[in-house]
Order: sequence, then structure tokens, then C-alpha cells
Amino acid sequence: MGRPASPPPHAPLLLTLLLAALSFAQTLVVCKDCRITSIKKALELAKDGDTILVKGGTYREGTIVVNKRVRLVGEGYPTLDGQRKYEVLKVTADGVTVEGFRIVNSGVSELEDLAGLKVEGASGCVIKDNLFENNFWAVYLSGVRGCRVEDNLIKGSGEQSEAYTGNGIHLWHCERVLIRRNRIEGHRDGIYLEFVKDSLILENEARNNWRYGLHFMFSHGNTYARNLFERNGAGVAVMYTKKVVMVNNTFRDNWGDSSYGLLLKAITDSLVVNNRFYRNTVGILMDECQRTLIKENDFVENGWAVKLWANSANNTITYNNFLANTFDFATNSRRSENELRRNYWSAYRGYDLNRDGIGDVPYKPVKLFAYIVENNPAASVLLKSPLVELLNLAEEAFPALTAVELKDPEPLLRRVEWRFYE
Amino acid sequence: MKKSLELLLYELAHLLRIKGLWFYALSVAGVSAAFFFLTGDERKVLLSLLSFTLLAVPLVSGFFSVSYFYDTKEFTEFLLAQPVGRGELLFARWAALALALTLLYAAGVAAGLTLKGFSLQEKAGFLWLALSGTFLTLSFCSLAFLAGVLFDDKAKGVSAVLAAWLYFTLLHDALILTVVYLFKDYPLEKPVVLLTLLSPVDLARLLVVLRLDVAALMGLTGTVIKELLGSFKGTLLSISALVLWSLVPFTLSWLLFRKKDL
Amino acid sequence: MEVLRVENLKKSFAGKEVLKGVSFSLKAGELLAVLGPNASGKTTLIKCVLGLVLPDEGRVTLMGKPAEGKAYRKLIGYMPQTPPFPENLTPEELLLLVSRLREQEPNAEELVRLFKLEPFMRQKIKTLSGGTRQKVNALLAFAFDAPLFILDEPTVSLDPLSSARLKRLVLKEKEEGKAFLITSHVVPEVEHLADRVVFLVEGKVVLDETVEGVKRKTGKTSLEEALLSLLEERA
Repeated sequence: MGRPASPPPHAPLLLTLLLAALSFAQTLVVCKDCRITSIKKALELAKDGDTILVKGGTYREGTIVVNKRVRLVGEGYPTLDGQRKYEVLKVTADGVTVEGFRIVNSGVSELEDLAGLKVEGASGCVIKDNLFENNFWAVYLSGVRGCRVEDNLIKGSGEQSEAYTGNGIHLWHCERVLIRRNRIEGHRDGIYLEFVKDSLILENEARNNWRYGLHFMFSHGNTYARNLFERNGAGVAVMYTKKVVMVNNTFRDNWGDSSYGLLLKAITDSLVVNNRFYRNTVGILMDECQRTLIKENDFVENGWAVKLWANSANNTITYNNFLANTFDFATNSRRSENELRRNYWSAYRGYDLNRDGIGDVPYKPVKLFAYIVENNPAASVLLKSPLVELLNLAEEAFPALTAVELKDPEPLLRRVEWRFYE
Repeated sequence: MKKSLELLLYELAHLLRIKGLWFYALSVAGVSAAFFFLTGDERKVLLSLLSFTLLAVPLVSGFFSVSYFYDTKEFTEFLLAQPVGRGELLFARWAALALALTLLYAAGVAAGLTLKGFSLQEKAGFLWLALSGTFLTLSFCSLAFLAGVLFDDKAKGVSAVLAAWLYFTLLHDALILTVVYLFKDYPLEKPVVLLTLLSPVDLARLLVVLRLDVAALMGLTGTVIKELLGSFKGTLLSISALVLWSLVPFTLSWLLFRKKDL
Repeated sequence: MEVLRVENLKKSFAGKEVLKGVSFSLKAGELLAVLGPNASGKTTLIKCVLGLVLPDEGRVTLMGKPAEGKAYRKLIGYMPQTPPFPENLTPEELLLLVSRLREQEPNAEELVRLFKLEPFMRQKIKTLSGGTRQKVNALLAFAFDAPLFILDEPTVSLDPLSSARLKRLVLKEKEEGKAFLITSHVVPEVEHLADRVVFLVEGKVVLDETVEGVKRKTGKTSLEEALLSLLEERA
């Protein structure tokens, strides 16, 4: 498990400064009938450490640039409308809080990544309890350190075009960011991270995003826990990354031609533990994946529970439950340099004469038909054919028929009990 | 045409009084109900019923039709000594058989599902299953008539139908698998789709499998195949092929029967 | 008046010649018995007349019409050798079916009474005895008016009383000018009915003669004996 963002260096000094600022802090109120009627005006008047309280109503002020250390707080979810032309909020100062707003209709541009809320090069921001609707990009963090993005509800337009919808939460070159309890739907990728380090992605729900629920590249040492990824176009794709920890996530109902619960592309030294994979076309697809531990996961009713490409090696798959998948395993080579041991397979028909809870004959999870389909997808027209059912039966009766050597030499006879932290 | 209809109604009245056929409907109902009791998951029920349909419907339709064809040979001669056209008579008998078998199959499935109270999630899937069962019934009735007209000997005719059943349920797929295995380095989608068109059982199976929104979950990938058979055009193609499978063997038997010595 | 004419009928099945040029004719009010041992071609001959088998050569004409088409078959009342009816239909339904097919009203009431079929008319065929089925068979043949009746071994499986009733019926119809073609392998059965005999051996007509003529020729008193002596003569 990861740690919460650690306190910045020189903490005592910062604390002193903060206290000094607070002692002079004032609250500026913005509303249609107030002395200050625009947020931009309030920002002009504000000093570092002030709070700007914005009351209900709709504010169309073009791009609001927050370049002072302020708390920007909405009351009754005031709407900040970008009118499909502008970036709505742009934060460039450290220590800014944006809370309680409804941020809608950011501009769409082919040249710039216009966002509902963009934070650029700042640290210590808090983006909390906002509604994002119909933005090109919703939350966009670039070069940010020590930031929190929490409890936001993010809805994209759902249009399946790169030109109209960007990502829900997008991080680029960030460190120590906490992304927690957000709900993202209708964007391209729900959560996208590139060059992001030491961050925590917890308890988010990404649904119905038309590409990936979660997508990251070159983002080492992050932890993903208790997230839900459901019905995203192509599932979750994580690429070119070391030391990923994925715990207690649920990957569900990601269907499609090249869709998967979780794609591990060039992932090394990582942990995939205590996750649930339900009804995905492919539970986990492992491509160039090295030294990764896959343990205590449930794979239930997937098309393929695991696809393991020949370029993956030294991975360990153990103590998982494989329950009622169409195919438990597929691979494109006859040999495999991975450790497969002590998993529970609902399709296992072996026996346990010495009653040690471990089957006496190995389980070979790659069916002949699955192997043929893997090597030539045209064979998939035979799905559910009586011949294929017969073939599967024959394979059990005559193990010599099996095409691939990969086997679990110690299949478990009882389901692995592990706890899912709700 | 009027006499055809007349004959069809009498034939149907006779067929629907055959207890064995009601046993067929009852078994279908029993099997569907059993699937529902064993698993509440409709998707699984649908797939299990599909497997059952693919095996049982062609066998029962083909075997019953061909036996019936031979068992009623003398009545056929009696009727043909009346002012009835041979074509009219054969069509009426075929249509009555196909109708009776289809009705009983559909009634069986419906009865089994009624236990579920019609709160079906996969309604479309079950309708496609019924359609595919209907086409299987029609195709194997047709093949049975062709065998009946081709062979005067009952043993030969029945064997021919059983051989057709074995071929289309298992051997044809084995052929496809062999082709795929031998020519694995070539793009095979189109030849394979062509091969499936040559088997009513494959077509009936894919009609259901491709319709399920969870087809991908069961491992049906290959965009080309889905486009070729699963798209609107593809569905039209496979339905047309099934219509041909239902009509062509019968039409051949019809042509032969008109000039046949009885 | 000539009702049926069969000319030089030839038919082979799988290279085996079953009919080798059969010719005969039949007048109104005449009863012709086609006799012959098993496999002599009787069944094929009848099927040719019914239009169920197409001859290789020769032709069949009925009231001047060639043996094809529906109108031709409406001229025939046919009683097959064994009652061929589907087990789950009732005699009443069968009567109605044939009536619809022939587009003719049945004159059934008298016949039903004659054969004492009243209690069985609404019972399924499968519940009826062999004899009763044969009566239904006769009923369906005679219920519709036609110039020619073809009866294939009509009295097999009938009890003596019904057999006698059937014969009486045949004679009555004959007097009304109907022509009859009857096959049988039990010679005495047809002896008192037949006006003429066609004797078929191995697909050839070896005898076409009135019953009286046969007896006179051979000097025998019974038709059976007469035929036997003819067969022996040939051998």
C-alpha cells in the first residue's frame, strides 16, 4: 500500500508563513447583488490567503486565472460557464483550493488542451467536491506537486471523437498527487497519467469512458486501490511502468473486440493483488510484462481470464480464483517462462486422493481450441459448436491432446478466500 | 393451392395427435425449465438451450420427418390416386411437418420459460434462438424429404438423414477447424464464413451467438467475422442462406417426386 | 362403351422388366379380374393405370383421356390392398378429406349402414380392427361416383359376411354401368364376379378371355382348375 502525500520539506517554515497569512485573511463574497459581482474582480482584490466565497448563479467570465494563493469556494454550486470557447479556470499559484463549483462547457480546440480546470506548475492545490460537465478536458494537472483531487463528479459529453472529448482527470509530469473518490464518465480516458510519480489513486469510479477507464504510461511507483472500472470502451491500459501497485480494484463489463479488464503492457516489478475481474472480454492481458506478481484475484465469467503473450516472463500467478471463464488462459506460444501455481480453477476436474487440498494432476488452462483461436481468430466462428464442446471433453480424457505446456502443477481444490475491502 | 391447404390442415390434425411429438415438446419444456432451475443466469440458460437446440432439433426433426415419410408411403399413394397434384401433396405434407415440429419446439421453449414468468432480460436472445430452432427444423425436414424421395429403402433413407445430422453437427466443424489449422498463415475470415454458409447448423448457431451483446465475452473476436456475419448485411446473408437450406433440399425432392415411380 | 384401354405397356425397374407389353381393354358394366402369381406385375400394372408409375412404353387411356392430370384420376375409385390411413384420423375425417380432394359429395350413408360402420365413424383409425379398417377402405372407394373402380385384393381380411356384402355392392354398381378392375390371387373369390379374366405371368398377358370361355377351352368346371391346367400346358 502507498503512503499519503508526505509533507513538503521545510514544513516548519511553511507553517509559520501560513499562520501569518491566516491572521490577515479575509473573505470576499461574490454574487449578482453583492458589491463584487465577478470572480475576476474578487481575484484582483484578494491577497494570498484570502477566501473568495462565490454564491449561486452562472458566471461567464471567459478564462479565470487564479494566480494568488486563495481558497475559491462555491456556495450552492455556482456555475462557471466556458461557453464552449474558453478554458474555465486556470490555476497558476501554489496552495489554491477550488471547491463546490459546477464547471461546464470548456472550449474545444485542436491546438490547445482546453480544460474545465487546469493547474499548471503549481503545488499544494486542492480540487474538491466540484461538478464538471461537458468539458473538453475536465481536470488537467500539469507539472503539479502535492495536490489533492477529491470527490469530484465528472461527466464528459460522451462524444466518441478525439476532437471533442479529452480525458476526465489528466496528469502530466506530476508527483505526490492524491486522486480520490472521483466519479468520471463520458470522457476519452477516465483517468490519464503520464510521467506521474509517487501518487495515490483511490476509490475512484470510472464508467462508460469511450477509451480507457484508467490509462497511464511512464508513471512509476503509483498505487491504485479500491477503484472501480466499469464498461469502458477498452478497459484499463497501463504501459511502460515499473513498480505499480494495484490492489482491491474491480474491473467489470469491459467488452469489445480489443477490450480488456486490464492491459499490462511493458509493466515490471509490480503487484496485482486482491482485484476482481468480472465479465471482461479479457481479464488481464500481459504483453512484455516482467516480474509481476498476480495474486489473490478473482476472475469471473470473462471471455479469457488471462492472456499471456510469449514476450512476458518471470511473472508469478498464484492463489487466484478462476471461475466460469469461457477460456481461463490463452497464450501464443507453446512454452512459457512464468510461474503458475496453486490457483483455484472452477473447470478443474482432477481429484485429491491424499486430501491435502491440492489436486493430484496438474491443470492445463490453455484449451486446444483457445490456442487455435489465438493463432487464427477465424476459428472463433466455431464458438459454442458441439464439436468444440466435444474437443474440450476429449482433452480432459486424453491429456496428450493439449497444445500448450503451460500448467498449474498444484491446482487448489477449494476457492481461495481473500478479503475485499469495500 | 386450395387442396394443398386442405391437406395441410388434415396432416397437421393428424400430427398433433401423435403422442410422441408432444413428448418432444414436453422434453424441450423440461430441459428449458431445468436449465432455469439449475442456474438463474439467463445468459447461461440461453447458451445451454442453444447447445440443446443445435443437437436435438436437427436430430428429432430429421429423424421424425424421414420415418414419417416412409411410414405414410401407402397413404401417399392412396391420396395420389385421388385428384391431387403430386407437388401439392408433397408441399402440404412438408409444410405440415415443419409447422408441427416448429410449433411444438417453440411451445416447449415458451412453456419452459413461462416458469420464469416472462421477466426475461435476454428477450431478443430467446427470439433469435426460436428463429434458429425454426430454421433448423425446416432445413432438416427438407433434408429428410430429399432422402425420402431419393431412397426407396427406408433403412437407407434414415441412415442418410442421420449421416447428414452427424456431418452438420460435428464433421463440418471439424473440416473448418482443419482448414483453419492447416492454413493458419493466411487470412481465413472469408473462406471460413463461406464454409459456415454450407452448414445450416453453423448458421443457426452463429445467428444466436453473434446476436448476443456478450459475444465478445465468450471469445468471439475477429472484427471481420463479426462484420461478415453479425452486421445487418451479414445477418441478412445468414438468414438468406438458412432460407435456402430450408427450401432447396425440399425443392429438389419436389422436382424428383413429380416424376417418380411410387 | 370402352372405359379403359391399356396398350403395349412396358416397364422396367433397375434393369428388370416387370411389364413386357401388356394390352387389354375394359368396357362399361364389365368386371375384369387381373390374376397372376406373386411378382407377375399386377401391382405395377395397377400403379400404371393409377398414374403412380410412369410406363417406359405404351399408354393408358381412360374414357379417351391419357393417364395424367387430376381430371383423369377423378374418374377412378381406388381401394388399395391394405387400408393405408393415418392412425390418428377418423373415418369421418377421411371421408371429408377425400370429398374435398375430389370436389365431390360422398354418398356415404347407405354404405355406412351396409357395412355397419356407424359406431366407428368418429373413432381414430388406430382403435379399429383390421376388418373394420378394410370396410373403411371400401367405404372411401365406393362413396364417390366414378366410371372405373380399381380394387386391389378387396376381400382380404374381411369377414365372410362383409365380403359377401362387398360383392353384392360390386354387382350392383356393375349393373349401373361401372367398370371394375379387380386383382386377386384367390381365384374363387373373383370367379362369380368376373366377366373376364386377364392372366398375367412374368409381365405378360398369357390369357385374356371371358370366364366362361376359359372354362370351355379347358373343359374344367372351376376357374381355378382351368387356370392351373393352362399354366401346366405352358410349362
